[in-house]
Amino acid sequence: MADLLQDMPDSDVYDVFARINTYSVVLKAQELRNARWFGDFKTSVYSLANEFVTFWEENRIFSSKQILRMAEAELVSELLIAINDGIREGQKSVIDNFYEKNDDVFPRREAHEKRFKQTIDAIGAIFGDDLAQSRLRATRLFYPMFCAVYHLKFQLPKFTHKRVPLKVADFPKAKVALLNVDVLLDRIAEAEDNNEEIELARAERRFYDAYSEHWVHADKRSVMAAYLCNALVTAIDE
Amino acid sequence: MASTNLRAVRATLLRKLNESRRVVTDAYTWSMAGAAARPLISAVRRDAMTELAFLKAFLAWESFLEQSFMLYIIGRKAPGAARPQRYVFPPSLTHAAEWVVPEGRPYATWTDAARISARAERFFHGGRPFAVTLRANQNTLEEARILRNAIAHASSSTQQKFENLARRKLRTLPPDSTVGSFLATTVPRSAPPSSFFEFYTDQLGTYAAQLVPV
Repeated sequence: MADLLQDMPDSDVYDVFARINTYSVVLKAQELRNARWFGDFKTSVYSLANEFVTFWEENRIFSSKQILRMAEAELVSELLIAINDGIREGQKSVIDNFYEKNDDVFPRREAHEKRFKQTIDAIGAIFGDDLAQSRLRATRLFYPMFCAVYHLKFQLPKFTHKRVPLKVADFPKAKVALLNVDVLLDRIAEAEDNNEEIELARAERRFYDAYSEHWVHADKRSVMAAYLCNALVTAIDE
Repeated sequence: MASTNLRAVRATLLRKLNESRRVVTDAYTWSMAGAAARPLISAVRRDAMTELAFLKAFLAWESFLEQSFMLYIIGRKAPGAARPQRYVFPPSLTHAAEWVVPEGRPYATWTDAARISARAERFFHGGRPFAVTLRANQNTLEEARILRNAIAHASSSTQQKFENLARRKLRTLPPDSTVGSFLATTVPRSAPPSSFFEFYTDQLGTYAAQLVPV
């Protein structure tokens, strides 16, 4: 139904949504983007989001209700922005500006889509059925994990962490390395529940601090991606 | 030579589906290492055999659709159902075959369930029996068609559609996936466990039973 708004002036679109928002459920930022943009970047986002709908749902990254509200499209938008520009803050204006800038042409769309798919496929192959039980399925960790895996496979822009080739034969090692993050977070949660002090390595402490507060900030996302990247590199190099 | 009764047309399809299943079973047996022997064929050949077996199964399905459509159009009746109400009365199978060819095309295709349903509505009241069965199972038939096309045509478009299907079914595309390896994969949450090859060929047999009840 939102597609009927195509070719309407912005003021009319805003007017329609102002009325909807007044009397009904407030629309999410991604739903508004869906109504506003129709170009290259948006179609890229929605075709990828749709192709991986089983992945989002069955790994419990998003519920069907969240998918109905286009939460998965917003994450895909952010991941494509990361592929294009490097790690950015999870801010409405950053995503909005990218939609605006890439509506006519999304440069290197085909290459970006191919790499996006290969990265998600690699994450799926690494975890098998275990991602749904891992904390890494939460978007705050999924984003830096995607960036880390993408970096090893293709090199993320403006991210200078050491890389090693991520081969299919390395996937079992990569899985253990990534699931160790669950172990770390479980240890911390247990200690906090018991009001106990826990001794953490400096990198672990930095990772946990980034994870627990303001995790959408670009610098916090970079810290988490670097930690996960390091865990993968160390496991593969062993 | 084409069969002239519907029971035989259905029996031919079921026999060909079984032949295809046996080819896949053989391919898997030959690709497994025994206690003392090496596998007779590699995984790559096993997957290629699976693809060819699926292609043969789907071609048999297309042939079943064409032949049963023609027989219904000339007024034949399936043993287990009433005669469908026809809008046309071709004097022979040859005439029927000419009449179903869309204008401007050299022949009618029997691959696309949506097109066959629309065609059935032009020739039979309510499109029966084709439109009901094919429309109700259009998703599965479309998936089988995507696999058939990915085997038959090596284009980026058919490969892309296959990858898209595999991701929807398996969450992600496994490393080094081929149509053959996908067909051999167990359908998630199937009980008892069955492969995608078994699933699609079983479904084709079921639809044939609905189209030609005996």
